Amino acid sequence: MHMIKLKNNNARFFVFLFMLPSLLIYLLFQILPLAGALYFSVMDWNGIAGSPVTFVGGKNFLEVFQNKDFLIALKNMGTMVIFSVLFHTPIALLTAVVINTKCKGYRMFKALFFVPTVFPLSAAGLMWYFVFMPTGAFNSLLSTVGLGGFVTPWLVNQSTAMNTIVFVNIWAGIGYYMVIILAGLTTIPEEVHEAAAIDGAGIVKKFFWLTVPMLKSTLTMCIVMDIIGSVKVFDLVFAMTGGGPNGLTNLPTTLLYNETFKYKHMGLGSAIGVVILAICLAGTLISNAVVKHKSD
Amino acid sequence: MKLKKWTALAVAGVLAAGMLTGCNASGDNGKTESDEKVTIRLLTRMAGTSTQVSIFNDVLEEFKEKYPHVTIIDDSQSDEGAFNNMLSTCIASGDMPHIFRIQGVANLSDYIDNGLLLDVSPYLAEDSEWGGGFSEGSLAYYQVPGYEGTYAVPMESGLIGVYYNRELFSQAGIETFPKTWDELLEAIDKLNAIGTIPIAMGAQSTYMAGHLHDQIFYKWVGTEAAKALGSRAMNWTDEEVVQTLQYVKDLIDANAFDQSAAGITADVAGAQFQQGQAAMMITGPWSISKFTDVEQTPVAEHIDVEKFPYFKEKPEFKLDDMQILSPYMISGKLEGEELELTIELVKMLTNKEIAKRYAEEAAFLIPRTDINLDESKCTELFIKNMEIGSTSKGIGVDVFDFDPLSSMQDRTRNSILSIFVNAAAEEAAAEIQAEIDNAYD
Repeated sequence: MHMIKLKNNNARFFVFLFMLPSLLIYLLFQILPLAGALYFSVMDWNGIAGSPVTFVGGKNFLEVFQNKDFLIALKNMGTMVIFSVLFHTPIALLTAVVINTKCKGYRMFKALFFVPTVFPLSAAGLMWYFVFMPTGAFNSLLSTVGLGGFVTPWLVNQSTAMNTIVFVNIWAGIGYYMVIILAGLTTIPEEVHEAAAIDGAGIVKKFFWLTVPMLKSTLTMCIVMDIIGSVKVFDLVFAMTGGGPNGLTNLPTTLLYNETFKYKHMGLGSAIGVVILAICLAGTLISNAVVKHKSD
Repeated sequence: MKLKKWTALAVAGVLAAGMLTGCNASGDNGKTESDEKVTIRLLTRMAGTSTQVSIFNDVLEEFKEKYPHVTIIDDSQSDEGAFNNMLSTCIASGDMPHIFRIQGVANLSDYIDNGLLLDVSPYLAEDSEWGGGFSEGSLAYYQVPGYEGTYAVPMESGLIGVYYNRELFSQAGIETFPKTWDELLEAIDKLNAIGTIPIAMGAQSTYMAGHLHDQIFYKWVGTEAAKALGSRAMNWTDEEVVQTLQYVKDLIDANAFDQSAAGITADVAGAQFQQGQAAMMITGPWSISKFTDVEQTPVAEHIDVEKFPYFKEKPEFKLDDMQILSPYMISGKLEGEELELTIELVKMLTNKEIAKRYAEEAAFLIPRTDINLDESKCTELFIKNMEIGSTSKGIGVDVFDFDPLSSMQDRTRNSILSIFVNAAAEEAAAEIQAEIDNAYD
């Protein structure tokens, strides 16, 4: 990697000066809260300003892993990550490849697929809540078309609640990954496809033997981002169920929020935050190691 | 070069300073550049489009006209979740609004110890025309055990009863509103038979499930039992308390609610009742103005109110009722003109003139004994609510109001909600008790 060498102190001063606002923002809104979470994760505090903050060591972490709600949240997170990875990138890849053929109306489809990404996830979540609520649009549709037997409280029923949220998360993310893959597709030279066509390769062969291998780094990046993004999902669950009923659809992120702000378990909530940080960090390091190993 | 350097320094400085100033905007404790200017921030539940909110807003406007140097920031939230989130943040940071409300009584000790709550008793005594008008019981409610003084000004009261649709009852062949639990179960069967939802329930708004249990609890073990739970003389896993949760389960099993009640919000449940799809709804006087407005409630003419049925086995608790009692609390960190003006605003929001207006126009009752009500201006439903509410012998708000743990509001309500999604009464009770046991580990 080539690094720019700054000629003198004056230049260094300017560089520092222009970095200062963003550095302050980063320190104030990232590093300081992170340090706060680490601090409170080993403390006990009732969330009332002025009340004593007592050091409890690893007690909060012990409680986190003994907490059945956290285990449910972890399981839900696993479901969210697995199904998001299984569906996001493959569907986005297929969609991007089709749109990249520049078929009739491709611009419209590109925009339509990207629209869910433009909406804030909380707004999308609220919209889908109205679709899937017991008296919502989906159940009305089922009743109207004579499938009343399938009517169920989708966001309450133990077997459907989390899956419904996972479905919405997949819906909301496809457009985002599609755009990334589309950008990756433009880097594949047209000549390669032409040469393959001359050699007699069909559409399917070109897809599996050319497009996919040449997009490997883009697809890996999508999967890594998807894993980390799915671990961090908060707004969607918050808008659709708030983690309820009674913790059934909690993810670690919403459990953190509920424990901290609803139950005033500041220490426990902070410890959950630290565990989420550890999961994200581990996920990133493992993914980077895998990518590095493959590229070597 | 030097000029460039200074320009860069200025730009970076302005950006950085702007950021820091922005962060501190709400932390100026009410004062602006000049000491003469005062900002008063309110965080109440008085938001939305109801008549009581418009009266509340009228008072704020009147106050602004009277004190033009005061800026009012009204952060009030009608949604309980949004309100609780904002309040939690204020409590954690110590940056309390000037006027706010915290639910519960026994949990107020921590707030008092940390100077977040003002003892209003000197101000009530100082202005006897205003302070002397509140009912004794309502003021006594905010006298926290172990502390001198009164820590809130009561601003809302009234019976939380069972509002019901007489027409639907008649269609189902129910002649009088059930007085006992057994009669209630019979009525539920009859209402189910005509395809009506017996009781509107939006348990996703967990307070609705909580209020249902509160009613059962007070009728089965009495209002004093809530205090016994708070003082730890009783446990949630005691047989009698578990039985109160079992009665919630029994109602669910009797199809008293929409099958999807756990996924329905209070608004949707309210709409079911207002549109005549549900026969009963457990709610407080805050709903009366909606229930008497034909535009909002097409079945308004059929709506009546009664107390929650009692248990024949427990006649001693027949008159133990759930009532709402909401406060205005004042930040304990205020002083000088800021404090005086905040007290003045609370007086304007709760004096006998405004209490009369609230009652007559919005069916909203401030617990004062000096309101000169013109009953001809009040709705029948409001008068009935007041009449039956006045017969209460034991009064309880939410059961968790008497618990010193502030987490009990959400713990109890969520555990009660879990009964709606198949948990057993014993499981819900154990979950609630575990919250207490863990806190004292």
